[in-house]
Amino acid sequence: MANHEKTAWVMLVVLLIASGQLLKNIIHHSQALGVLVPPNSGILIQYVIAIVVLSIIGHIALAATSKRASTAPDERERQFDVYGGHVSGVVLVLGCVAALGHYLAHFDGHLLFYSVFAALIASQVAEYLVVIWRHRRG
Amino acid sequence: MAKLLPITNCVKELREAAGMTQAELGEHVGVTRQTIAAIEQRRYSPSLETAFRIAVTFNTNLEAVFEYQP
Repeated sequence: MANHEKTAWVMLVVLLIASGQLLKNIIHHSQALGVLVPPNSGILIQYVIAIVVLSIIGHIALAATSKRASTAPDERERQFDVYGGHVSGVVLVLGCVAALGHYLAHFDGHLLFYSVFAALIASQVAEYLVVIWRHRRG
Repeated sequence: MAKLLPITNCVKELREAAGMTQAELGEHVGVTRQTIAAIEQRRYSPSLETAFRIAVTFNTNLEAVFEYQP
């Protein structure tokens, strides 16, 4: 497996673990309040720190197990990144448009924030999935 | 199965004749082993620069390595 693909796997797993924890926190706090918890910096800072720490651990593990982990992507892998970035952009736009449409119908600012945030996460997940898929199909 | 690209090549034959592995050739021309494998299997057409590097590695010209078959 190419290091570029391994990196995409590591980042995908990190993002899914951290995002799952974020979702769990939001559901937990919302159940305690009885309504959707307003976005707060505490939960989001925890999320960002979790991503940074987990991705550092993942990359250290990758570097320790692979001789050429530090090499830059080659021309073929850069094409995968470009296509992944394109798909990621489409997912982000669709998510944001859906979130804005929902806001126009319901005027729920908190849900708008979470929807746009979810679109950001989904776009990043889509990028990693596309890179992995392009590697898998050759 | 992925569609074969219209640029054929004899990279595999030249590499095996030179006694090189895909990883060694990749290191020589600045791409990964997986990219060399993709070139050999006509799943990826290399950039002009990489194509020239491959030809130079085998001490031959571009036309002897790559051919366009529309």
